[in-house]
Amino acid sequence: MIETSTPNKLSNLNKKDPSQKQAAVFHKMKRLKPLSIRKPSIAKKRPQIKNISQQFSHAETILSITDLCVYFSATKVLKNININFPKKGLVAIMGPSGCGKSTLIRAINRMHELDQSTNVTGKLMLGNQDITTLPAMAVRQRIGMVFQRPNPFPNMTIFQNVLSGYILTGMRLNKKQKNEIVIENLKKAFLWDEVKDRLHERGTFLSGGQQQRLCIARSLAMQVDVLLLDEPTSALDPIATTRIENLLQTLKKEIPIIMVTHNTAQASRISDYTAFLYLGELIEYNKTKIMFTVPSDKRTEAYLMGRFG
Amino acid sequence: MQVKDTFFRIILLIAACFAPVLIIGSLLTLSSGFIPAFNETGLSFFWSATWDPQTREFGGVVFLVGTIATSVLALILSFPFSIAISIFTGEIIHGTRLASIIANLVEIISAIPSVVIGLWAIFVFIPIMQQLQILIGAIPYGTGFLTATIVLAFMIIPFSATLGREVITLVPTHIKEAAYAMGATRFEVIRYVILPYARSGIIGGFLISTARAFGETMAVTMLIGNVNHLPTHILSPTNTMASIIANEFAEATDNVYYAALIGIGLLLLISSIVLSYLARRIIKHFIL
Amino acid sequence: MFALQRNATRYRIIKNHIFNGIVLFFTVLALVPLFLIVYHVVKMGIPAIDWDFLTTTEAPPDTEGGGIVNSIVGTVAITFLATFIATPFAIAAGTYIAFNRKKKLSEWVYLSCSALQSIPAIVVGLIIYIWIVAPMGRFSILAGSVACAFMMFPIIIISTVEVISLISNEVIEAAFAMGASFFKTIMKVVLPIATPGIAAGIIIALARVTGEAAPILFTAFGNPFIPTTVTDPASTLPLTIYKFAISPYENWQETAWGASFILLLFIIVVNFTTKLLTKKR
Repeated sequence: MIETSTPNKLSNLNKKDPSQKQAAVFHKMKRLKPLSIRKPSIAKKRPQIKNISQQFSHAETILSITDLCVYFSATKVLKNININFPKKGLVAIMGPSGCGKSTLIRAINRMHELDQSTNVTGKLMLGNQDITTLPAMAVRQRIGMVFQRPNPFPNMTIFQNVLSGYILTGMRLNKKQKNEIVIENLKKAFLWDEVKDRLHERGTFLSGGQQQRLCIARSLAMQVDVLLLDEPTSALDPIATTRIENLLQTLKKEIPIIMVTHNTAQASRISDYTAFLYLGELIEYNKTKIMFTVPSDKRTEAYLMGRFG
Repeated sequence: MQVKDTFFRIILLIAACFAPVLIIGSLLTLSSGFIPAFNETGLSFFWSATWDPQTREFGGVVFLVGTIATSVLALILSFPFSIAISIFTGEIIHGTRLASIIANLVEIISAIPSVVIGLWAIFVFIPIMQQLQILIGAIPYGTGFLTATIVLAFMIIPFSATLGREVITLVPTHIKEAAYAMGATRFEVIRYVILPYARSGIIGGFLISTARAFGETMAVTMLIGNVNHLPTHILSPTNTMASIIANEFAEATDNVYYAALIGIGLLLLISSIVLSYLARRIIKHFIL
Repeated sequence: MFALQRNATRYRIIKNHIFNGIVLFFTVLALVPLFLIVYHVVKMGIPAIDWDFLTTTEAPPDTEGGGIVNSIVGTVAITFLATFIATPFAIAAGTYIAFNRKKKLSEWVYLSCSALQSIPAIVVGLIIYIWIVAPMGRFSILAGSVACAFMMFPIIIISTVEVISLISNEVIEAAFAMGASFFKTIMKVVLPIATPGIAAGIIIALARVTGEAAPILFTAFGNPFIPTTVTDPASTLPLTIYKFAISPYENWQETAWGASFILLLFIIVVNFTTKLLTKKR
């Protein structure tokens, strides 16, 4: 059994020497490998819970999705997804490529409405509110999204980029408020020290990892209820990836995070809950530590052992 | 085989040299053709507003002002239309059948011969202008500065609209997605992300439009009224560099008169080349 | 931390709708004159056209009838001669640039091409007048063709360069690797592959000069009769339209509408067919 307190332990490590941190990650990844060896013993006591959603009480749930289906033209890419996301913690959504994980979080942020040929059905509740009845713009203002490729606005300075949500939606702020928001959110995104002298330059000189943290800061500045991340580290180098992972571990204490990842090590390291999608279906959704040790579904197990995707 | 290859390469080289030779040759020809007039008028050619072949006074200012004023006003008039077409076809309905139909229709505007537009304007648009002029109590010439400018504005729409559409579609999807994901409406995305991103390309398109307006001859000649005075108000007839050449070159028997018209041609040549060079620089800067 | 006040979404969505409406309005309004022009040219042009119109030369002012055969002959003669003059040089120059991209000269040639393209047509007419008409002492089809060739030249160069650059380098290298000479590679591999694209460029250039009256004004000058040699002056359709449109004579104005219809039809058909052909590849 892998120890249960892994996430906390690692976040404690954050404050220490970075090389130690990486060593810990590496160690962790190594420890995951022998899973297959233990397989026979697991098979006997597969837990019955395949979807943890019901265990979150109404008060504990931030986002609840009922019967979500997404169609690209005639193809059904997501098949009746039912999932509740908790108010506390980071949920990782993983699965082989093409399983619909990006489609799922794009559906939450209503990004599919930009594409005429895509159809979405189902019910989404944010807190107590049915957000499918709201205009997409209103929903997107309350749900932040960070994309695979870092995409700060090239025509804006770093300062403006943090405030871009306000600029874009026509919200007026005074100078003091602007400064406050920029400083606070850059600090939250672990970016302040690196850019504080160059706030009024365009973000193009930033490295990929810094740009991605700027994108996170920009979403945080909107005081969103949930933060969605679509494979935020897939375009980054290992060092930048570690920094983003560390950042997310701190952030998840303040804000619910839903993150798509194709990297099982990343999911096991930083998430509290993991959902496994396969061919457009939600196969399993459980606490990360349970899922990575005793998956209840054979397909999950196969995926974790690297048999597909 | 070696000899044949070398020979072939030399032929290609000579053909390539043709383009610069034509440009330099044109500049030299027009410059030397202008000398007799320059000797007669001196620098007053560039600041005098009197153009009178009878008294052999040749000042080019009327035409310079006429060309610049018609082009700039036409540009301003065409601006909302070009930008609307760029935004509509490049973003709002981008990728649909309707978008490509509109884009094709706009390209047809640039393909219509300018004499046909001139003909149409004489028999359809001028009567409308005359009605309006009667309505406001002006002398119903029909032709004149405003008439020519409105038609010119229509004619230059395609150049800026096509380029504008192209640069708008070049704005990367992931940048637009970022803005939509922040909860911006399409208007806000266009206003704060797409237009700033595509700005220099759009400006380049408008410069190309202006260069076109500078050189546009036939329709303007048919509509501007052809009077060699500075326009006193927006409806009065005047002349442009291109239209004075088209109108008077065939009758210019006098040596100085002939040379003065060549001088106007030289002025027009240089200003068009400079304008389109600037436009290309701006666009290149945007695309690279 | 201040209390976040989100902007009322409904107001912003209304603003977005208004914006869409304005954009649509201006787009449609910009196309209105196009439809009106086509409508009037068809309405006024078709009644003017009959067999006589296409087979007789232009009538004197204030009489009945009269045709445009002299202008059609002039147009065809001038544009074809212009194509024959411009094409070989332009393709050769385009090939040079495409194969010597890094050289300073290519840069200069390319720059000159864009400069040449920006020369107003009327100035081209002026230059060719000085170069050809004045020394020969007469207006001629030849001078008109050279003026049109002058305008076609840069367009064909640029399209040639673009088409050749699209050919994959492997194909060209394969030819060289087989031991083919530069000459053979160009003639047997590069140009055959590029032919459809270059042809499209030539046709587009041709369609453009067909509609231009400005370069013809002082070069071919106009001729009420059918020209017989290349040293004769000639009329072209746009020139006739210009001359007749500003005349006060009704039969000339009618002829101008008929000629406009034929010219517009020709240009739209040519533009569309090249567009369809280039799309297919």
